[in-house]
Amino acid sequence: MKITKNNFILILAIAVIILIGFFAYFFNSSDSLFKQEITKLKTQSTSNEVESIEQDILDTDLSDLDKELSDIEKEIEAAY
Amino acid sequence: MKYFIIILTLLFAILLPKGITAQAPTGRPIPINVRTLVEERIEINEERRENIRLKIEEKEATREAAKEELKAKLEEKAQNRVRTLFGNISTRIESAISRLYTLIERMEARLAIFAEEGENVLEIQEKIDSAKILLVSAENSLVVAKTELENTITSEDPKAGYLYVKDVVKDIKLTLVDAHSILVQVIGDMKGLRVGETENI
Repeated sequence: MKITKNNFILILAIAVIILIGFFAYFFNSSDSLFKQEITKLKTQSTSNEVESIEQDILDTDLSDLDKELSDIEKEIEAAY
Repeated sequence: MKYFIIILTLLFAILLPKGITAQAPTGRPIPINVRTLVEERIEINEERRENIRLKIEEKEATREAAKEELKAKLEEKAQNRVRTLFGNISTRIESAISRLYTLIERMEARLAIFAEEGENVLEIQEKIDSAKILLVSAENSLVVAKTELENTITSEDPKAGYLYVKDVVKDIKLTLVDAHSILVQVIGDMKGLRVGETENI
């Protein structure tokens, strides 16, 4: 009986640690995703060759510039 | 014995305290000392009721004040969250504008080489200039959006103000997309110049 109880506590502790790790990863990943987006926008070649410039133009992604607008709207709706 | 009883009865009638008489159902007035007691009792009860009412009012006021304080704190937290979210949008837009400016610089550097080689780059330069104008417009609009957002979240009616900010941001995005489209055309034109250059060789 005593051994079973100890095993249960051990399993529970492991589960809690895994959960904490999961939440930490989740919250950090959204922040790191944003940083990745900014890094990508700030990174381009220094070459003046036409092909290089063309590639960087094509790599310019402007689709998610305003993606937080809906989140802001939700915050304002909820708070006010 | 008879006389004794009569005297006793008379004595009893004379010496009986008047205040003890109860009010007869026929409506005879209440004796003064009982009336005072009742009035005093009523007064005490009213005073007690008033005290209770004041205590309830005080508790209500304290509860309302605490609610207002909590509401203000929640609003401040919401304001900070909105500022953070808009900060992301703002940083992304600034980075995109900076990227497009740098691309333009590289294109103009390349264009200068084509011009030195005798190519007619006037039309291409005009397109680049129109892209620059769009970037300046986007920068100015971003300043407006930042200011208006701050005014909006601290105002009485943030919902109405936010619609304007949202429109400005969407307009900025469209402006940058237009600028980007121009650069795509320009690089196509420059590739055409390159092809011409190759043919001439």
